[in-house]
Amino acid sequence: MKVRAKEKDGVVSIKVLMNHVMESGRRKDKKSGELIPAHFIKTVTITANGKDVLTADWTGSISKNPYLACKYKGAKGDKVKVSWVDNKDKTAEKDVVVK
Amino acid sequence: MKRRHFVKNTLVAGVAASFASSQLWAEEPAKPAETKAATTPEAASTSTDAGSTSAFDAENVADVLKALGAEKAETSDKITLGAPDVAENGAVVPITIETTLENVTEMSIIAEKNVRPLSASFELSPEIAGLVATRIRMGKSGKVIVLVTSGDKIYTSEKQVKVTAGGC
Repeated sequence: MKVRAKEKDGVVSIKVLMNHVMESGRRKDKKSGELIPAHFIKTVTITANGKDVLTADWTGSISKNPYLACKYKGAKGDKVKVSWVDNKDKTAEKDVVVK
Repeated sequence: MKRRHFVKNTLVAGVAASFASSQLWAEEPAKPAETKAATTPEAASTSTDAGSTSAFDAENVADVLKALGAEKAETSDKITLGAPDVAENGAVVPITIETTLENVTEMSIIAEKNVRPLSASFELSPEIAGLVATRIRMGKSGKVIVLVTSGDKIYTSEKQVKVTAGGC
């Protein structure tokens, strides 16, 4: 997971790139013809200094290796944490300091 | 070239699969559609362990709007929906929601022609400065609809997106 957070004029822009297959559960295996089980990120949480900024509820119709961007009113030095949980309960998180 | 094939096959398989297995999602644990049907939008968006909710399970735009309580959403020119006119690759359609509305608490992205139209919903804190962006999948050309909840009102904006590469 890659996270960038940059402040300009009191507004912090956060850009996140996650590595995930994001299987929708509707795609078939080309060889066996069987459906590939769904495997996608369900929830993404972005916090700044421990406070929730954004919570995303996602489905399998988000592109693979998802991109997420948002802006919030913040300052340089804020501690931004991005974490996700997928439908198999795998998680990942990353902390960055706003530049 | 390989990627093109991959995308094309994905979409074709996706469309075919959607007809063959409309009960697939219901089979997944912890989200029988019937029992979820009554959940309110608030409960739906905060239930992180259920995986899917009534709004996410809805199969057409009208049902999604109903589940989100957004049937009477007002069209607002304070929402800028950034989406391509023509998306070459339906698997990656960049969507940007920008708004000058105050007190935005929730945003949702709906792709009209997808089997499960509701793609994503975002719960926002008051600190959000009016921009959220992500990339979604679209099976076919169709409208992209965004809902923005500001105060106790829901506003909407939509844009037609044409999907080329194997999308139809």
